[in-house]
Amino acid sequence: MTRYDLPERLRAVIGDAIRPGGLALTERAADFCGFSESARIVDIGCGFGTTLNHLRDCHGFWVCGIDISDRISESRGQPVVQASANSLPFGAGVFDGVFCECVLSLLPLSEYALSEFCRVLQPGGYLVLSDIYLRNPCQAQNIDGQPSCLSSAVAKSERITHVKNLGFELLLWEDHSGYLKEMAARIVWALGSREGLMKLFFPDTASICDRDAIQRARPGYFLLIARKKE
Amino acid sequence: MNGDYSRPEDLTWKCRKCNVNLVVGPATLSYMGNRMTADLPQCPICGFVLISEKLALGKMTEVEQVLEDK
Repeated sequence: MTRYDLPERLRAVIGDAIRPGGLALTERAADFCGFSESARIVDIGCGFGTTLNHLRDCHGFWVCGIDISDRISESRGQPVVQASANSLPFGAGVFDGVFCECVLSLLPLSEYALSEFCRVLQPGGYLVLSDIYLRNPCQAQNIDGQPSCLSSAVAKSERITHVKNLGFELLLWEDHSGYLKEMAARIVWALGSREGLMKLFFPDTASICDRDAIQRARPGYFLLIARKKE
Repeated sequence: MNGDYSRPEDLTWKCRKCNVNLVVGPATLSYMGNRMTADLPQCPICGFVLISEKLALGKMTEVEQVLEDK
């Protein structure tokens, strides 16, 4: 079992809406960026292709996806490449938008991935990140290194600094922690207990101490939109 | 959030007001601004929903605690 199995495990429990906010945040970001219909968008960690299908069907964008796993057969006709987010198989400046939804915090070296997102965007292109962050990061040391969706979750200030240091202009940061709470509630309802929720996300770490540390770190959820400087 | 959370014994209850047996159907649960749907025993006429003690003290309490977390 690896951190990349999480989408399959989540899907088995709560169905297709396997990230906080589902397509609502995707739609919010697409509207905010105001892409033209000919925009070229890449979805990092496209998973089952939900965002790819939505952006193509509802906005007409040219979309492609990458995912580290081979579970990518459900994207309907869009090009999908099996690749790592830390080494994108694309040339520089080829995309108008990079979407990375609930993926960055899974990656062991998220700063490398962010620099790759910057590289493949054309100047003026948009970076859309939605992900988990730590609202109380000083409590997070006990959960460092766990193979989970919190592996690379950082504080708001740290994530914004990463993005700005790469040459992005920050356009939007919104807290959507309510979506994370809602998803947690759905999982607890489906599994019957908070114990089940923790085992789903942290299958290898069962100690109460770890779980307390996770709670104290107060995981939240954000939407960030930034533009690559011209 | 769907799923059948009724037990066979729940369907032995009758709605006192309408005097009919309960049936399983979708019910909307709401707490602290969050809404979810689950299949629960309810009166097919007036819609009165039966929440068993086991459900109320079990997973429903667990979900409430998640939603109450700061």
